[in-house]
Amino acid sequence: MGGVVLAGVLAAAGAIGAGRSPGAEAERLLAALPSASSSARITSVPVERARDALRRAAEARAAGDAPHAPQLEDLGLEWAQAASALLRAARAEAEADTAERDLADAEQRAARARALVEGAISRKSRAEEAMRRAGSLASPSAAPPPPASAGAPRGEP
Amino acid sequence: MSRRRLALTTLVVGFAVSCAPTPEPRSLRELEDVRRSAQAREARALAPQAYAHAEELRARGRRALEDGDTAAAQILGEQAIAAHGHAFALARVLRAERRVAQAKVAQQEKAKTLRDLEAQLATLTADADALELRAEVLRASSLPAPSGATAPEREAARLAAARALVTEARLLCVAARLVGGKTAELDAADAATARVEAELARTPATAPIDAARAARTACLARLTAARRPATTSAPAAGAADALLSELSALADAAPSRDERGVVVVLRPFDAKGALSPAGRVLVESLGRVARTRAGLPLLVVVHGRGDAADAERGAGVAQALRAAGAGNVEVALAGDRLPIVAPGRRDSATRNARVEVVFVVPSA
Repeated sequence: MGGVVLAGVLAAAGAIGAGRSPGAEAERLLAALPSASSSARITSVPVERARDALRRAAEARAAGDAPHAPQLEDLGLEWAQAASALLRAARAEAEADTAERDLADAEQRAARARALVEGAISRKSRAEEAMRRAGSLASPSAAPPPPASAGAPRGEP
Repeated sequence: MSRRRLALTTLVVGFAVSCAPTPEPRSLRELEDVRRSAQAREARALAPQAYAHAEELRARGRRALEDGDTAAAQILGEQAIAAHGHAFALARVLRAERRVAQAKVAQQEKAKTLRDLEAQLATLTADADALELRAEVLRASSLPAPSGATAPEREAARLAAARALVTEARLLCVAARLVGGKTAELDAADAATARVEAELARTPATAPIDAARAARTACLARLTAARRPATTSAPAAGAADALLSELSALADAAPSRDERGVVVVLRPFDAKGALSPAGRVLVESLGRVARTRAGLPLLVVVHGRGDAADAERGAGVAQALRAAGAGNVEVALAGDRLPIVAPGRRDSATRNARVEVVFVVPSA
């Protein structure tokens, strides 16, 4: 996790170090957010606050408030980064939901297979019993004494 | 009020105003609520760096307030709130990634359990199949009450039944040899079958139906025994099912299964007994199917009059199968002993004359 945060911080720092101001970096992050309504619903609050901060930064700069304008751009960047992270969180949670659903399916399949194995064990036991019965039928020594009618003509062949 | 008193009052009020603490910006007050939330506690545990960043912004906001820069304190307070939101989102990412990892590990375990269970199921099913078949064979081979003498017409029917049974015995023994090679037990079953055939050739007064049934049972037992190793080593292979399915896709094949294996009946012969063009196409298709299953034996069974023409017809089909790629083909003549319709009925000879191509599957 530390890696994730560090990577985010380094990326932002790298972008700013590469000549992009916090305001420009914030604009880039906001522009990179997907516009689909489902994503927009997730990020609407931080995106709105980021845009508000950037607007206030521009107003401060226009009013000659040099010390506070960069701070407001930093604020815009912070909200833009929060929006990106929220989106990642929502995607990761959706992936986790899918993985857990798949796991539940696998558990169900395993339960069915276990039931089939139990059925097969029972069937094998019955077959063994049938073998024993058939074996005693086939073995003359184990066969019961012939009935009095033995030797009489049978019916249909 | 005198001028002097007014000046003093102004001085006191001015001093009081200049010494009063600067009011705390709203964002810093809200930040304290955010910091006390469960989300912040989770972020602190799961995303400590991001949490520390938010706390550092708060400290800077507090310092700005102490320095009297209320506007900077408000902005830094807002930024700290955003940073806490960011930290909590990262904590959610981590929690979700852990769920995915745990679910995948559990899925792998379940998949292994499932594979083990399926293998166990296949083995148990094959064992049960084999036991049921052996029980059936044992039941069939149990000594029945001898069939006594009957009226002449019934004796004739018994003779026909005995001929059919011994022919089936012969075909089952051939199938057993094709699958498992010659064995002492198979030789014994073959010999018993030959004895019954010899007795039937003399047209006995009493049909040897019990001996014929016993011969058939012995040959079926040999075929079952010959298949056992392949069935046990690959219980889930389902070779016969797959073959049946593949043959079903061929035009005019209409395959079926019996104890010998998967059977395709060839009927498209012309008046001279030669394969028609459609029949040749079907035989070539069957040969190609056999070619893709190296070692799968084919048994060509000719039903007709049991004469030289039948032998020639069988040899022709076998040759066509070999030419199409079948490696192991054997021909057997069944004569008229396994009719489909009763002999003597109209067109019975035409309807009973046929050639069966049996794919003798090596496992149950």
